[in-house]
Amino acid sequence: MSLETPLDLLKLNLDEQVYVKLRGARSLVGTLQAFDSHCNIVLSDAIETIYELDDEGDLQSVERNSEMIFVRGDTVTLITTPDEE
Amino acid sequence: MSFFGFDPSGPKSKERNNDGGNKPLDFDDTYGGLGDYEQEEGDYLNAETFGADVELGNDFDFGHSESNQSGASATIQQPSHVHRSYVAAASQGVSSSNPAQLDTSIDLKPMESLWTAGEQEYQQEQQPQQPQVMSMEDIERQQRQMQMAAAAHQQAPSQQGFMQMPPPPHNFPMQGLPPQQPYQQDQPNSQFVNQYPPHMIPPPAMQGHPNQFQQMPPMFNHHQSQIPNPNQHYPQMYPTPPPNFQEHHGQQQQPQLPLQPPQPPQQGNGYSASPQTLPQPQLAHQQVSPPTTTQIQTELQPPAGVSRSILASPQSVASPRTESNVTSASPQPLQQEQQEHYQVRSPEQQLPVRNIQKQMQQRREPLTPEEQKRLQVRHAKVEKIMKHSGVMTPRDKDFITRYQLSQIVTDDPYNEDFYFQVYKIIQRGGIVGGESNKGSIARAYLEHSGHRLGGRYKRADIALQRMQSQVEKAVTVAKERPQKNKDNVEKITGREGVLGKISSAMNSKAPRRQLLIPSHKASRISNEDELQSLLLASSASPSTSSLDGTDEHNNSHQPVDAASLANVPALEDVTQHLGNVEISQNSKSRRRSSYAFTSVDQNSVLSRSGGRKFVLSLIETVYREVLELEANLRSGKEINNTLLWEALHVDDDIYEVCPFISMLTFDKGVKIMPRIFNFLDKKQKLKLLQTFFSELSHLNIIIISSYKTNPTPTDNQLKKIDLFQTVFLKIIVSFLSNNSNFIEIMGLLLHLIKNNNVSFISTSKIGLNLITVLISRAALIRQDSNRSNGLSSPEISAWNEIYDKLFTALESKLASVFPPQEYLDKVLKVMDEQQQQHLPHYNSGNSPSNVQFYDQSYIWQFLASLALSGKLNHQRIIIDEVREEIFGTINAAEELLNSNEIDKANATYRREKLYQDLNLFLNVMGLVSRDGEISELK
Amino acid sequence: MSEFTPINPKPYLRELAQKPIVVTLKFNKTQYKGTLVSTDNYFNIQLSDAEEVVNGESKGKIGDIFIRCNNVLYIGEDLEKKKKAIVVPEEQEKVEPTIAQS
Repeated sequence: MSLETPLDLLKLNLDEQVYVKLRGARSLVGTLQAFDSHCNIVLSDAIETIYELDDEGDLQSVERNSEMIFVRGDTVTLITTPDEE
Repeated sequence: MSFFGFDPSGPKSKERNNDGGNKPLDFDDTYGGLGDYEQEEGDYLNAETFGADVELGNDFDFGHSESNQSGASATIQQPSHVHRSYVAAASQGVSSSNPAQLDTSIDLKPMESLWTAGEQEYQQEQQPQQPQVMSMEDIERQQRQMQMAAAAHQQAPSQQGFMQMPPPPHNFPMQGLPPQQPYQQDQPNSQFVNQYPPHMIPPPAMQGHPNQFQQMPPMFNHHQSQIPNPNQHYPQMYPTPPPNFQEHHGQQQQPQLPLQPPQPPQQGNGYSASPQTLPQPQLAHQQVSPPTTTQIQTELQPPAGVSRSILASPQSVASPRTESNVTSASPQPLQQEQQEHYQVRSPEQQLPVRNIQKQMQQRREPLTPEEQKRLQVRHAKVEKIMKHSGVMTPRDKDFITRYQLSQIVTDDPYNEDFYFQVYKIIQRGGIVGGESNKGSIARAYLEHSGHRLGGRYKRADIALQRMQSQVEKAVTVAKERPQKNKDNVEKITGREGVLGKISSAMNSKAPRRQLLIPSHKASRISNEDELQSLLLASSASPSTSSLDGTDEHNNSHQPVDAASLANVPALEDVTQHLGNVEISQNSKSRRRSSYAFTSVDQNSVLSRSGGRKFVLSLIETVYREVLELEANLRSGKEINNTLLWEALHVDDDIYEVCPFISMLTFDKGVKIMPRIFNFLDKKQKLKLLQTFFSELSHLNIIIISSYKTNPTPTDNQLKKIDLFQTVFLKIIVSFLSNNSNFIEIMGLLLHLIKNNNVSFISTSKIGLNLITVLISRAALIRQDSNRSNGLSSPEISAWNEIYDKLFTALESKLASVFPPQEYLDKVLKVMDEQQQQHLPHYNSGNSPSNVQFYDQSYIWQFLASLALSGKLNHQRIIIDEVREEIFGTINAAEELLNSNEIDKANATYRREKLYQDLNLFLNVMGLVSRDGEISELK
Repeated sequence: MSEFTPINPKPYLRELAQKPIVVTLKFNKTQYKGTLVSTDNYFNIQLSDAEEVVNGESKGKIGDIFIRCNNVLYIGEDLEKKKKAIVVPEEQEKVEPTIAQS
């Protein structure tokens, strides 16, 4: 494990559910299918949640489901596993 | 011939004695005297007695020195007597017998007589000095000590002064212990004296007898002459030392006798150890008894002084009697004398048996002392055991035991009372739903009436079954009446009329459900409790037994575990092949700390097998290895699965939960399994499956798929269950059907049963399927084997044991393999949602429940295979327990027919399906259900 | 430290491995506190036992996280935690929640 790199976390969670935080107040939960060193990732059965502030300033969220989704790495800020939230 | 014949010391022995006895004898010296006897006729037993080539002189010397040592503690006079040869004694002796007489006597008289004479004198002398010095306890103690020391042939130290002589003296006959022989031969008297003194309290009855002995012809004289000792309290004693003992034992030790194991030996020897016989003057016997007897006795008697003394005395006593009283035909030379003695003797009953025994004993002569000793010990044991044997049959005992146990256990007479229980049920009637209680009541009742306390399981099963049917009958009758009322009420109110008649099954089902799942939160708690207690109950770990309320369970289950599995030899045979199926310490602790049941959270399990990350990294490693192996396979390289096997951590017991089990928590862990199996050899597969079945309780998928631990499954969980079912179960099935033999299947089942809470596992779909796979495969093999005669009887009996154990674990909980309706509803709901999500357009018009239904066929499959492997009584129990479900299913099927649902085709299909599943089970029992009725299968 | 000894970023991060650190992002006033598990040449970061702090308020534990390099403003040792490890628990509470940053 001494040679571990941050991307190993992704590797370990292949085929597992992951939570991905994106820029622009978006997040994704889905099964990690693939990733690369740029953090481009592919998720299956993904649920995207988009947070918005409505006119009154309250936080609203919209969800979107995707069977398979590709996420370009430059939007990713953080990846974790949903289980331990 | 005996002993006298070779008394070597002759005149010189005297000298020796005077010297203090320390001076070694010269062979020539001693031989001089011996020569006279050498030519004697009739010393046919000489060789036997003393061995073919014995240097008498030396032997004697040996004994002599010993005697001196012993003499230290003895009276002063003793040494001199002791050391004397009997020849010498004879010359000085009481009677004025001349050598010639001796010769004749030699032929005729038994050795015992010689010794007894010596004793006589000695005892007489001693009596005043030591009148009944020894208490009973003392004697007992002595004897015990002597027995202990016997093996070493050492002198019994405890004996007072007299006892210095080594116990072995009796062994004089050559075969015995070489060192002792000399001594004995040299100083027969001393031996006896030494040994017997402690016991010497003269029986009053005996005292009268001395005269007889003295009268005794040559023998007597001979002895007396040999024995200078004036101390004979027991005139009776002279005959042989043994007699003395007899006296002691008879009078003093009578109470002791029962305690002493040696008794049996006596039997074996043909001597009656009975105390009654003892009091009689043995002297007579001894005189009577031919030299052979003495020899025999000595031979037979264990070298140990104690045991010998105890044993020997009775022997001598008994044997002579038998001869005299019972058979005149006894081979003894001196019958006349015997007769004399008989007169004197009390007319005690001598069993012919003894006589025979004695003769047998004579035949046994060739046995070595060690053998004899062993024989005696064995006899002792047998005797002890046999003493009261046959008084009761095993059945009687069993009955009594159970009866007693039930009496003891019953501290709550009302609850132990079957009739009261039934009464209670009837009273409660529809409220509690008595029918669902019947099993538990019957069982509770039986538990208290003994079968759990060491009773036999099979029997208990039958009893339980009988009990259950009784309870059931009573309950049904009681129910009959209120039911009518209820129906009336319902008619009046018109409630539920649309759905048609409400069956009793439905009625009784509803309350049960309430009990199980009152509310979400409460149910969780109660389930936890239940699971906990189940856990404890099925765990053999003693450390849990202290928990309140679970003692009974533990107590009841443990013996079963031990008795039904460990003690069955056939099973042991097989289980040896199975590789240790024993519950490992590890798995015990695992189970103790297993709270996995209460939580669906996979992390609780993961954290006990190294953590999530660790497990995930293992999976990655496994993937890597598999990929590499596959690459090798493609490129035709050599395949070495060592790394893969290590990566699997199958036999890694460092962690509380085997990492391999945790790997299966992850879908990818499950998915890789088929590829892993491609590279494992059979042994590895078997090991892997053993681990798998052993730790089934920790398997996340089990926890997820049990309605008890996961009453509200999610979409993802249902998918996981499906995945596991289609991937891993398939592997197991193919392994079982292609590679494994009967023993291996039994082994896997045993792993499952022993290390897991079977009743919990059976509440999960996956668990139930796994059990089904195993037992149905076993049943299949058994059927095949029946045709081809393939199974050995140990295998079959082992299978029966395992099945019984499985059944016991499931018994009374069989109904709980059916998930409650709430669970089904939830599952259906999730499935509907799922379907709606994915196929929204399909679902728009239909009510979801029409499309989806919970497939219970796996449950009926399980019950079918369980029944298939069971005997009739098992089948009955199964039917009893799932009766409600059977009728429930039929009702459900009929309801479908009546319903006005839009999707008629679907309803028909479901109805067919329900019947089909149900009949899967019923057909095993030779039944078939059709159109709402159950009939016999034709 | 009178004498200047240059410390390069990479060795510095390597030294922080297995230690509590604070990662401050470029936006949203977000910080992540946790144990540094590993970094790579991009300075991607993996934390364990991570805790999300927004505007100084903890948003809860989030376990193992991967932080993509481009979002990181700076990284520093979590002095507060380091102190906690040494100081008695009661005093920890009093310690002003100043966020240590290198």
